Amino acid sequence: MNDLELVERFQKGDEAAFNELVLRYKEKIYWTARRFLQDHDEADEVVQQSFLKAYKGLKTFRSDSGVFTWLYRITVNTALNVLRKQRAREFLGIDELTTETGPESDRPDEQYERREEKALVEEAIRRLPEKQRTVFILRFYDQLSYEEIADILNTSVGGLKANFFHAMRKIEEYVKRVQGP
Amino acid sequence: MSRGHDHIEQTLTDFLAGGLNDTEQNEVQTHLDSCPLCREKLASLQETIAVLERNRDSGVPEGYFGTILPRLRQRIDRPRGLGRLLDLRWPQWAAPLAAAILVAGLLTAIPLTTRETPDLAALTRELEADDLADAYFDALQTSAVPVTWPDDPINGTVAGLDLSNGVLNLILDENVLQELGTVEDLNQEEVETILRQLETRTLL
Repeated sequence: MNDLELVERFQKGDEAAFNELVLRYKEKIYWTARRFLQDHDEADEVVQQSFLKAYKGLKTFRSDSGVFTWLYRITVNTALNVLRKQRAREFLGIDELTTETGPESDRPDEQYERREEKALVEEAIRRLPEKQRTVFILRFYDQLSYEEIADILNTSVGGLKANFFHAMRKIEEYVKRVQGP
Repeated sequence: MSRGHDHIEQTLTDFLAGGLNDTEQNEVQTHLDSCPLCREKLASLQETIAVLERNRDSGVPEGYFGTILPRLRQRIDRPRGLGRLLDLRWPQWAAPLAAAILVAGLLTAIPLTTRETPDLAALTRELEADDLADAYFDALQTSAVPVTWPDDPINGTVAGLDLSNGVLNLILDENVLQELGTVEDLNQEEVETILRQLETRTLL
């Protein structure tokens, strides 16, 4: 059953159809949120909030954009909302920056290097302006086409290509500057 | 060499990912074959992509994905308003007491069903700045409000924004409806009062 059929069934009162949509997209939604926020707990809350908003919105959903695109749009906006608050708190000095560690290795020096590199990548992405960060995550990690991203963000494909290029160049410059040539 | 370095450089990531059409892919390849500068850029980009790929996945608690739907259902199915009250475990004497109050009310003709005029000023004062921000950013999901990209989070204020009906409904839905019943309970004057008060509020 495709997404739109599930939506139609849900609109007729079939709750199981909504559950099926959640099961279908939960991992994609989680990873998008996680890459925006770089924190499991915050990503988890974005997943919950996004699906709750979808649950409310699906009752009046019209198929002028795909369900997948619409869900992504909700997730991106919800994650950006959290990110803006996070940045505002950082700006005001309420929050201290934290970085998560990756899977542990047996060798302590390898563990250290891995943690360092992971923190470096996260910081490089974190430093990107909001739109470049959004386009980078959707294009590089989620591997969405420019047309899909344009649909989600309601913008032009040409602008997205430029955003992606600048994001990648900034990440490259930051990684090289910190790691050394 | 049909295109300049700048154009080729912009397409290198998509070139590596195979995200270009055949013509573009060939064009970039032809340029690379004859341009050491762009080959150097390609090599550098490949190193960066390798770093990004090595750090693509972060840890997720074991079994996490299996918990998403049950927790979501719990939040969706949680009774609200009167339903939540009915769901509470009441002591055994609660039912007779409620019946006694009802009978007393009927006997003394107290208009129990009349809704008191809401104190809108108090209600909107209670809205936290965070609630307003949430409602505003939620509303960005709808096509009624265009997505904007403020560079400075501090400038992301709600004050002065044209609060559309969509935003108003979201704000009311989340914060005021529990007090008032339904949005239809509000008359035009009450809506305008809320709008006037919300327009003077800021995100931070």
